[in-house]
Amino acid sequence: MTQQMVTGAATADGRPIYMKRDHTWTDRLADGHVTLDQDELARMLQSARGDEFVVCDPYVIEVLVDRARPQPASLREKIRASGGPTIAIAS
Amino acid sequence: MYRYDAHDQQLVNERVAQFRDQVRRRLSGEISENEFKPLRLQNGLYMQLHAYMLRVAIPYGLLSTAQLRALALIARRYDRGYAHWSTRQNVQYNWPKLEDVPDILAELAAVEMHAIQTSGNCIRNTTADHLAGVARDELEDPRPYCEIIRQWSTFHPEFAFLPRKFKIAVTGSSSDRAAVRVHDIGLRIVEDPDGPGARGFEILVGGGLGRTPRIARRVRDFLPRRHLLSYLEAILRVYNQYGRRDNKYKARIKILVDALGVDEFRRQVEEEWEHIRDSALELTDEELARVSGFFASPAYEALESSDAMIQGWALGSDRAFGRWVAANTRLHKQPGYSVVMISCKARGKAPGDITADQMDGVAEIADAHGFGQVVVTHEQNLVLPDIKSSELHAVWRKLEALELAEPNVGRATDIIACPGLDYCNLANARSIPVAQEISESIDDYDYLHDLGELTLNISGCINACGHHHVGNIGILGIDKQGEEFYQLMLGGDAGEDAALGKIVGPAFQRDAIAGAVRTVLDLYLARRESADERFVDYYRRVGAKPFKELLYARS
Ligand code: SF4
Repeated sequence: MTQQMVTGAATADGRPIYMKRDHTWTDRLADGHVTLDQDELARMLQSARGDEFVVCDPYVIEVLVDRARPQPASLREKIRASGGPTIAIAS
Repeated sequence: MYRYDAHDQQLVNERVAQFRDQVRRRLSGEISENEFKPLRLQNGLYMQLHAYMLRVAIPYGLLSTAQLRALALIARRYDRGYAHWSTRQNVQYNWPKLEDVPDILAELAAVEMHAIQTSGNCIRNTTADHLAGVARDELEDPRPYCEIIRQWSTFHPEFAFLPRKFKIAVTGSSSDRAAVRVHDIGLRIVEDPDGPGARGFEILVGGGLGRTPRIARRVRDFLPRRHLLSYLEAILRVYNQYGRRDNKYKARIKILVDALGVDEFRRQVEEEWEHIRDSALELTDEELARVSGFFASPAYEALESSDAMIQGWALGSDRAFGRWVAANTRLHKQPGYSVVMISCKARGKAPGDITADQMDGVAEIADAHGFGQVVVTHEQNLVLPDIKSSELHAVWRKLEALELAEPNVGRATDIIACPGLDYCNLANARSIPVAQEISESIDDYDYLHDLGELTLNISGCINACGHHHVGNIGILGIDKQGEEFYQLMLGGDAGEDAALGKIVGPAFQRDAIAGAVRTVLDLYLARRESADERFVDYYRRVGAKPFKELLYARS
């Protein structure tokens, strides 16, 4: 079974943020809390939904853990976690 | 151009104040995201992959240089120094912070701009021919009608919650540069067949792209112009009442026209119209004259025709300038003047992106060499509508210095591309890197110019913001088990012979799509009858077979 994590967009600026074990938030996916436990995940999501002051539209993503480092499974989440588009921005 | 009166300004200012309070309440936790979302969307504020995205309306694409400078200032002060022209002649900022958005809206209001109705199930920005007012083949300037439609549709209480978003485009020329046949309503200004000199509209309804692409159907050959608003209102009423609200994929007016059949749809519209045709919605000659006054031609100098001179430059020995003249200028209705098309598709850059410095530079050129106006095209480029032909060389030099002189407008590397998976929350695949790879692969200007007129459009999902169905070559990004694949379509056309492209065969992997496009282009060049046979004409003559044979030869 794939491991999972809770993410959402920060209310202040829309940047991707990830839920930590203590249900606070981090900008770094690597610091997000990874779990296989569906009950724990449901609790995390419920807590996130109650935290609308900080986060918008939280949802669950799949992650692959390689040598204790979680990586997003989908390309979409990889692009989100990378902090910006995959192309150079206009300058 | 149209200038706000006191009512317009008050309306926009009040909206800024209202949204400022809504943002304050959101940031203080007084209202939830679910409560806030419809409010922010009504002000053009989306949530994308990395950040909020603010879409600002540019009515029919027309900007004053003061407005363009304000857009540059916003990019610099509140965003990351650039902005993106959308395929509806609007502008998008990709990185605004929520707390800054009210200030951004206030900056916009100060130059008579806003973000109202750039999102949501309402009537969106009415688009127009980007050569409106200067095109040689124009019967009448469509912008006064666009402005009248804008005023009628802004905050129209009956049409604030339509089944789905609603898009109108207007053209007054024989060449359709506004893609009127792929809009919910397309309006073509035409002469009254029974009364020479009188004007009105051919009414096309139910066009659109997305999941169910359709070419619009003709609902009326001729509508006298005084009935414009009452007829639009009748169409919107029928749609508002009978358009589906149970399934967002079947909610656009094109599906209603399909379901009823165009004859029954027309009957219902005409029946509704009978009740309101002679109401206060009548467009009087006085009101049309008043609005048209805002769009009067500028004070052109009386000059000799410059057509021969332009032809000479296009073929002349200064190849860099000649190529640019050939691709990026258009003949102007006024002798001695030219229309300059500014390509925002420099090789290897994101299509439609522009930096704050470039915006300021374009504003300087429009002030120094034109009449202080700039137009955004739905192809994500800019137009300087009134440049003296004798000043073209100087303008070209300035654009070169701004890296805005790529000689490719209307050519294969003038790619329309949506933001795709690099920015968009709904995307299946990336669009921008594919566009960049294709444009980088066409690194020879002689080859590019040999290819001639050709449209290449890319969308990152079936919503088709990149208009892939109507590109002569269309590319649609799809997701196959987590991997990006790209469908290739051929034969689309957004113009007067509007057609939807057909999928040529199985989708290509990410690393194969640019090569597939090159195969298509090489085949066309090798086999066309002559340089006068455009890509789309060649495709219409031979069909997909030769392309298929070559593209899938090894599989
Ligand atoms: S076509 Fe799809 S991916 Fe592209 S901008 Fe529209 S919704 Fe986003």
